[in-house]
Amino acid sequence: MVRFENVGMRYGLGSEVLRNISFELKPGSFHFLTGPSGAGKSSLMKLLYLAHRPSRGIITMFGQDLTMVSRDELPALRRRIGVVFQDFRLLDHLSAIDNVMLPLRIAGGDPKIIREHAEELLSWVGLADRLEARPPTLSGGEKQRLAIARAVIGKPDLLLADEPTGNVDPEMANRLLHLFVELNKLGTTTLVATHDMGLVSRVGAPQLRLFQGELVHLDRASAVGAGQPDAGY
Amino acid sequence: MTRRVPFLSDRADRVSGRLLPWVIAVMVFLSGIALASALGVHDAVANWASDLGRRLTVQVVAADPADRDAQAAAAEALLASTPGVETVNRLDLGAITALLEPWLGKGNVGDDLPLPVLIDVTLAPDRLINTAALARQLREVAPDAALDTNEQWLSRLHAVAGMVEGTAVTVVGLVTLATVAIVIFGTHAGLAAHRETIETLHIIGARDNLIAGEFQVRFLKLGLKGGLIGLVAAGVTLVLGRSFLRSLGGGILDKVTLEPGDLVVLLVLPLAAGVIAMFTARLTVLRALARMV
Ligand SMILES: Nc1ncnc2c1ncn2[C@@H]1O[C@H](COP(=O)(O)OP(=O)(O)OP(=O)(O)O)[C@@H](O)[C@H]1O
Ligand SMILES: [Mg+2]
Repeated sequence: MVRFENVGMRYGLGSEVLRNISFELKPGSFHFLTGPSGAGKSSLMKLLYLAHRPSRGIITMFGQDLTMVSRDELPALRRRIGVVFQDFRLLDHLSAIDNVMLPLRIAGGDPKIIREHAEELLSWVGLADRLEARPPTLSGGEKQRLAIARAVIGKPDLLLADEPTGNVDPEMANRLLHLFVELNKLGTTTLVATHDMGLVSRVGAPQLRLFQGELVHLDRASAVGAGQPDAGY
Repeated sequence: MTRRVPFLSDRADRVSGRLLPWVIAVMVFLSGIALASALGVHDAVANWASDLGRRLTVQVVAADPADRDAQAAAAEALLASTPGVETVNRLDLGAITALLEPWLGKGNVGDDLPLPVLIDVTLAPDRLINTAALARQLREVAPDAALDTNEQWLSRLHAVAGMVEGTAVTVVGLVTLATVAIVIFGTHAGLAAHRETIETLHIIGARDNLIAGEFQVRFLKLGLKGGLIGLVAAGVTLVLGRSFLRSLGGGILDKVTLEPGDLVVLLVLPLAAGVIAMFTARLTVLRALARMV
């Protein structure tokens, strides 16, 4: 599904914020991306959701070498990826329901069916009574849930969530995580970046651990930090 | 629920939304005035030319009154028998005196003044006449007769019309360039204001075409809006200007009017402004987006 080989990344002409990143996400797998603040989690996510090009190395996604993919082909790839941004990136001028419908409207589906689907999803994340609310009028947690609903509506092959439970109480965090796990069971390859080690231990999925721009270890056995140098925590 | 979702909010760049229609209004106003002047002058000159082109004047200037009358009669006979001549009208003394009085003063046109004989000739419409040959024949029967074909007058009128038209074309060309430039500025301002949303839309899977479409519709509307304001302003100015020309009276200026066909040209201006704004915005957006990831 996703394969990184010796990937590096930098912003503009700055020094590399990611170095020598190599890993693989198998189809249908569930991983956490952990690491202290500033380690490069969001930057790695940007490479994955195709908002940034690596400064070196090879990224293979959906069986395609990204260096060989032209700009015209990116939208088709991006439609297979669902993203929960750390800063949500909701469109403030659109209602909650329109925000959730956005990915499918862009892809050009039947608005009626999309709307039914979006309503269902919004009630699932507890926003059934806020369908017409605009994002600026929502609480942090509500925005987060809205962002998650938008990310999953297209039943993406790859789901990338950057701190998706940072603004909600533990109960809602569990509920949202459960949504990710359910989607994962249906085949969505999932990567969740988080600070919340409690969350990581509850799911017991393997983690990719970043420290100062490098991957510390690739723990397939899912033992959270067991016996590993647990930098930053 | 099939309403169109506005992917970009209008509010993010209110400045270009507010300013652009007024700038475009000024552009359309200037183009409208320039075009209307050119078309009006063109029509007036065409009218005059068809009028003057059908008229000739023959002057017989001889010192001896008997000789003058004899030559005039011969000229009249020749003109009347020339094919293509519709009317031959010898101005009587009273008419000529009336023509001269404004210059010489009433009562100053005495009998001893050797007045020329003027013969007014009207040609049949759509008849071409060889004026050079006619002048030669005239000189044979009346050596002191001169044929005036109004050609000098006409060529001067055409020169004036040509100048007005050339100026109008230049104004419209420059105004079009300025409109394109201002729309490019406006589009870049819009792109900057919407940068983050555009990035989000891209990541969600939007194609450049979708984003360009948003800008296209927006700038088409702004262009049409400005164009209509400009057209109304130009229309009011033209109506006032025409009644002013009318009030000046008796001359070529009051012949300057607009034909229905000319009005259609003016009505096209706001459409043109909208279409120019639309395509400029589209191309600008596509070029800018091609540089994004
Ligand atoms: N747009 C940017 N331009 C330049 N540098 C950036 C930019 N975004 C992030 N960085 C730098 O890249 C490094 C990694 O940042 P990143 O946001 O990926 O960390 P993170 O692991 O997501 O942190 P957090 O847990 O706080 O979200 C940091 O040193 C940061 O300062
Ligand atoms: Mg981050």
